[in-house]
Amino acid sequence: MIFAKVVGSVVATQKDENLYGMKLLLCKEVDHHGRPLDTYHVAVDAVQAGEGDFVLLSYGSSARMTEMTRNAPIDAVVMAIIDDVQIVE
Amino acid sequence: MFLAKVKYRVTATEKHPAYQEKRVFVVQPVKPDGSEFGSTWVAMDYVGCDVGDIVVCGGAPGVAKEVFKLELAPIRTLIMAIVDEIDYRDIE
Amino acid sequence: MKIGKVIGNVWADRKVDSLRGCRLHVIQPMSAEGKEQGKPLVVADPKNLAGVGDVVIYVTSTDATQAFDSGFAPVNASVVELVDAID
Repeated sequence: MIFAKVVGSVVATQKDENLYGMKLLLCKEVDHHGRPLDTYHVAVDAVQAGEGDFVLLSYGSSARMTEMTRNAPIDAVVMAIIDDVQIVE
Repeated sequence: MFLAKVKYRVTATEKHPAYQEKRVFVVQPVKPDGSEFGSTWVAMDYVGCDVGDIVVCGGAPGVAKEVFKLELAPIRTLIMAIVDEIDYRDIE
Repeated sequence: MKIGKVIGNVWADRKVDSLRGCRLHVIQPMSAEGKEQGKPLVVADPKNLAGVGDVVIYVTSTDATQAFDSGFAPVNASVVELVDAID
């Protein structure tokens, strides 16, 4: 899983029928201190996240392991909204 | 998944059975502002895109198999959606 | 399977149902000698084995989903063992 911040959404009318009803979020990857990195991901929203939310994103074939994305042709899903991260180093 | 711009169409006559009657394109990853970065990928279309479109690409083991209902699918990257609009506010 | 040290916790109230009750940690991958290797990552802990400071064994990719009883969870890494000693 990777940390990301939701920066927006992607609108697409022409898409796979298994993607109908799913929201595509534009996410910017951040490190474990919340510092933005220069990588963007488009991910399906499984937890009703919104712009500005600090989230966890799961990628690869694991992304299809939610009730919502089962068998959907996707490779990234927002699976948690983060309230807080505590790092002890 | 990642955002990309469809650059070229690839045509071929001799192909693996899984690639029969499928459309293959060269895509260039782009940032939300449209700027290009990184190297190009080859992706298979199944939503009806064309050269010049901004698309959502991605793929993971098993995805192509599912989408095309194939027994064997030596296909990794797919063009999954054609982008109409990106609504975003970037963070620095 | 890889070795890592738990360096933090992630608190997330709203998450997919399959992760309910499952802790999330940030871990620093390390060698058997205790040397840091690569960048920290987020792991799920379906059996709630570890806490901050613990050394753990974790699995990645498809194996990570197998750490859940259902074998069905959207995770990329899971804790499978709390290490007592490596000698």
